[in-house]
Amino acid sequence: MRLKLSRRESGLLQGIRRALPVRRFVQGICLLAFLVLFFYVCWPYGSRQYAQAFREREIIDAEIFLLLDPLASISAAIAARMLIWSWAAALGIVLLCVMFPRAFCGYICPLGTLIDGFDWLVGGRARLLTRKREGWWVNVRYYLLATVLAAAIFGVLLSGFVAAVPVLTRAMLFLLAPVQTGLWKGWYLVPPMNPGHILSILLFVLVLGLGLLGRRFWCRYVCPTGALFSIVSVLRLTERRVSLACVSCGKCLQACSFAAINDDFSTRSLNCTSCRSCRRACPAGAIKFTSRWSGRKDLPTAASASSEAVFSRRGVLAGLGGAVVAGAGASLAAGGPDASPVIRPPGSVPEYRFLQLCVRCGQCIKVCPNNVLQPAGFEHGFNGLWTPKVVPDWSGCEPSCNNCGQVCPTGAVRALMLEEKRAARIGLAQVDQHTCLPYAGHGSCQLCVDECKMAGYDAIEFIRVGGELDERGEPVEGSGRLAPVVREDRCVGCGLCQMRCHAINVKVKHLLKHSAIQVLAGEGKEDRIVSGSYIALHNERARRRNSQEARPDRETPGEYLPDFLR
Amino acid sequence: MMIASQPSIAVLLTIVTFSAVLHPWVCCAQDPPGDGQVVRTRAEVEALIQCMGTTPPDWWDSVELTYPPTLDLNWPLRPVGEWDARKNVGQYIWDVINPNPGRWREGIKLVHHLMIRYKEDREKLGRSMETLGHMFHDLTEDWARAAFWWRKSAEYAVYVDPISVAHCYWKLGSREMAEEVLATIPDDYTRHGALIKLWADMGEIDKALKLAERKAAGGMATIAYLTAGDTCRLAGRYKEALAHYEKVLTAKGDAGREEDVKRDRERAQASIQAIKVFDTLDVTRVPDGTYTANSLAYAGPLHVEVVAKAGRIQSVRVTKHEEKQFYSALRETPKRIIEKQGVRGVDAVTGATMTSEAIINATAKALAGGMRKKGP
Repeated sequence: MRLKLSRRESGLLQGIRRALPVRRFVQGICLLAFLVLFFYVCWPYGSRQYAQAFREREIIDAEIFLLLDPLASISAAIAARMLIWSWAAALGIVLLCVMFPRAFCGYICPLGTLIDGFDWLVGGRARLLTRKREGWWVNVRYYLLATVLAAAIFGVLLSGFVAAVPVLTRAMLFLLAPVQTGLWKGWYLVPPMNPGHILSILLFVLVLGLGLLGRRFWCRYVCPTGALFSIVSVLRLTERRVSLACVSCGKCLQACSFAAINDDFSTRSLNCTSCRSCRRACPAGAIKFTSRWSGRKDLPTAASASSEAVFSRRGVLAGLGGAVVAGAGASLAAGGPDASPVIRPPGSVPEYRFLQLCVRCGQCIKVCPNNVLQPAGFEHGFNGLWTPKVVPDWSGCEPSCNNCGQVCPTGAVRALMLEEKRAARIGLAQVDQHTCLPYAGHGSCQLCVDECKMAGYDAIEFIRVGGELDERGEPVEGSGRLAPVVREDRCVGCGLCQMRCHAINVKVKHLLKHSAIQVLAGEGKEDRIVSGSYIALHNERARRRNSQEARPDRETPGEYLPDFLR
Repeated sequence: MMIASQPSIAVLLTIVTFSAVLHPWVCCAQDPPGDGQVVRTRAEVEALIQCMGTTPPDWWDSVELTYPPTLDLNWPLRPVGEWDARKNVGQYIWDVINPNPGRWREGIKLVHHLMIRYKEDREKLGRSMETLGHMFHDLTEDWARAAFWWRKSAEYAVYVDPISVAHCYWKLGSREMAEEVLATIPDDYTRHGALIKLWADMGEIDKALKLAERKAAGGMATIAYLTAGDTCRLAGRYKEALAHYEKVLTAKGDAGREEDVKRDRERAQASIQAIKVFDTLDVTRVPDGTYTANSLAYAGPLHVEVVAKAGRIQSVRVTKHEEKQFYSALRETPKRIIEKQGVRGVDAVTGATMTSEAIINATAKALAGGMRKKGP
């Protein structure tokens, strides 16, 4: 950022513009907005009414930047073969970038702004690795884009690995969110890391580290979201023009971070992000950003058509080949060492579709109170990497919270009303009668029952076990113990019971190795639907359970006081 | 059981029955709010029992008849085979219905349904009525319906516990009817001293103490002295109460169940502590603040949180407990403590003595802790 005021310019406005160019201002606002949304709005604490507290803070969509990353929604939509509503946002940003080519990269993208900051802080000083000439990497981003889209056609979603905003949200989640939790809530509340965390952090370090090779190296050569905008730029309405006033000083070449200017100072239109740094640098005022068709005669360009984006046949083939391999590989590598069904957030669509829609951005994990949701590592295979899973040993899903669905940018987790969320089953709790203290005869315990009652589900009740009989065969009052039983018709699998048993009986009292009540997901235990009401589903199950067909022996109650009793 | 015979009552009953047919709830006046003991004439109680007994409770239609498909609806008089709560109705009620307040109403509905099912079988019919009486009494504290079904079952030659029926009459407001029944029982042979406790509840302290002495002499010293202690404590005779409780700790050779004796001793100990705390307790001198303490209840320790403000007990909250029943005590007792603005003379909720007492004791301990904090 240039702070020196130019004496040649006059007027307050121009002064301010010199001091704080519009672009830097917009970039700052966007980065700030991103950070506020991620760390303040998506900070789920402050009230036990989690949904309400979040709603009150969320003035604009907390996941707005994820919605604005068109690669995320387009690839998810292709993978799942369905129209998702984030397309609207993608369409909006694409239209904007038709007006102002690649303005997303130059102005809005918070990752880009962070990279600018890194380049200024570190990249600008350490020039050891700086690459002066372009090499084989020039079109990597197009190949990556092709790979992501081709994989999506095969039903495998890779955009989470490389699309700009998911890379950033995940990095923030794994690097800074634990610090936030640690400082504000206590370090003991920070969940442990897994190899998935390390990989994601390394990826982010790599993205920033590329800055050592050149300014905005990631954005110029690697970012597939940027590549998508470059392709959109084919339809651009405005572009950069250089007039005959050009004195060939080369300052614009130095000012450009995006390799958008040829050696003859003409524009590589598909690279240009409309950032206007060159115009600010130009001493002759020869650079204009203007309509693509206006005043061609008045402002002849120094050189006509630009010559960027030269695709080598090898590159294209490599990209497509890579996509096929990735697609096939990911579907083969779907099963990990842990083959048991993963417990997904409430409102998650069916698992195959979930994996196609989830961009692995981690936004749901950030907004989840008490870290019930945690990112999977490699235990569920490559396809499960970074997807949110419920870890009931750590905590249970709060009945007053529906935040995860509210922030999911692609609808992998549906946005549910609180009442619907409370009816959406994510699993079913099961009591281990070999270890559960009352069953095993190791004393009384009602932690899970109390927890469930407090949560309002009332899905665990007592049964008397080990009762004694007297001589007449009648039960002895007060004999036996009361043990927990899960009522399948009420349990939604929130896992609060498991959390409580684990916290007290395992961690504090060391009475058990594992929680004696465990939530299991899977067919018949969870509600995974793309549309429709979970309450209706619940009622339908109740109706079927009670219906005459299911219980032909079932008797119906008669009159309260028939004549023979009067 | 005796049905009222005066002509005016017969007229009244006819009117009541008639109006009940026209409008089932017209006569079934609700108990007044608060814990004040209602007083009703014999005629009023009889009318209430008749009226409520012949009409369903207000929740009746909102509760579905449900039961496990494995349940044997023939409910033989003696359970057949191994203990199996999924098959045998009595064991199902014992194991599944009783421990879960959320199931009480459906349990009552099931037993009522079975009763009508046994229309032709006098024995089973009577047994079902007796069970129904127990459920209305023990579970939903619906004294009028309990009395109705118990009296009805007596018509089928089923043994009905007279102390329980007397308890219903007392709760419904007729000391006269209760005493009439109790007068026929010379001694307390119950496991928990129910007869002594009821006489004490009715304010007949001397009668209760005399029965307790006889019970102690009869070989059940622990429970006898414990109830004697409770009786004196309720009457505000703390010195005597302490003496009785001390006897619980020293009594030897008790005929009761081993676990009962052990628990009775623990309760006596807790009561001794509590009385000593009560002696020094002055609520008006407790500084503002929130105080916590615990005491032993039926199933384990019970924790309370007491808020004192401007020399008054602002709130009493049970924060942690292991009780599986007696939820009414958890609600009622804190209310009574706040009404009385103290712990002296707060009587235990009937049927939930241990839970009530634990709340009272813990509250006293908490407030005493608050006074100590203030210092001299």
